[in-house]
Amino acid sequence: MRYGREEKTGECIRAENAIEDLGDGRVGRVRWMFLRRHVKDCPECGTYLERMSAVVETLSQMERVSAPDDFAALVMARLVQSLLGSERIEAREGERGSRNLVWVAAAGAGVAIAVALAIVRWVLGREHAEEIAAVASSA
Amino acid sequence: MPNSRLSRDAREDARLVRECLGGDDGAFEALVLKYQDQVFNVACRMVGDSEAMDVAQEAFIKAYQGLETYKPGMPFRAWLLRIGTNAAIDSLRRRSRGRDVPSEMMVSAGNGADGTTAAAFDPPGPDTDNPEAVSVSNETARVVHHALKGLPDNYRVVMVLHHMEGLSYSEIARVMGVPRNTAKTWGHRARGLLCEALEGVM
Repeated sequence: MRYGREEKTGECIRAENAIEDLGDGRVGRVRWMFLRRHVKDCPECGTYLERMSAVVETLSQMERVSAPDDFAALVMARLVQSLLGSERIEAREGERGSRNLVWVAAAGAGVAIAVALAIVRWVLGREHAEEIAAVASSA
Repeated sequence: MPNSRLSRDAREDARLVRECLGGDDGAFEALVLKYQDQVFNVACRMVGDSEAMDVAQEAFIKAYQGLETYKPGMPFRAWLLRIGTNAAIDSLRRRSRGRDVPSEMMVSAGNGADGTTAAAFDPPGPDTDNPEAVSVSNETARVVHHALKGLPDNYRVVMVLHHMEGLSYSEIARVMGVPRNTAKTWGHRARGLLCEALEGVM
């Protein structure tokens, strides 16, 4: 079946499906009985079943690796560090923001002064022109 | 695991998350203590001993930072393991980029090509008194361990979560953000590759 043989019989396909489900840990009694019967006459399926059983057994027997005792403490410490880091970044961004604000305010004040001066100059210039016109007309 | 236990766990997790969002860091520490072994084990099986600590810590930091995005409808364990497996896969990708070797290419040859040590996967002890059988059993375990390390990342995640953490395919699908049938197919293909690795051994 799976290994080496080119043609699969219907029974081999059924057996292969059963073996794959066995890997998932869910094969009913009837299919298991069929599988046991089938592998007696089919060495290829027998080999596949043997390998699948070995794989599942090995995976199930692998020991779970526990976290070190100080794991939670280390996580919390790293968390505090990262929070402090982000606070520092926020503070730095805040400082940069307030510096930018000062520049914007200064530029705004400069523009306002320039506009005011221009208006004053325009008003004075107009008054001056009226005076000249008045002098000219009286003359 | 009985349903009542699951729902009690889920309720407890939801409470701890709420308390944490309310500013109680002690609640988050309780979540770390509750799930640290699972996250650490998955990290260890994915990236090996040397990087597991960093990956597992990173997973919890990311979980804390993203806690506001957590939806209580999803089991906290699945949400956390999703972050953990993503952190592990990111770490593997960074590592493989450094070596110019795609992680899918680090397959089954059994020479520890991904840099993890064989010590990370202690073979199970002999469970028989027959010396020949003991030898075959240890050799089989060694080959399976090496082949597991060489599986594509998504296949390895399914194997670790299903066989070591006891998650169902539905839970694995939630963790990996894929349909259940996809997770199941990956599981079948992964075991198929592990069986193929045993060719010549049995």
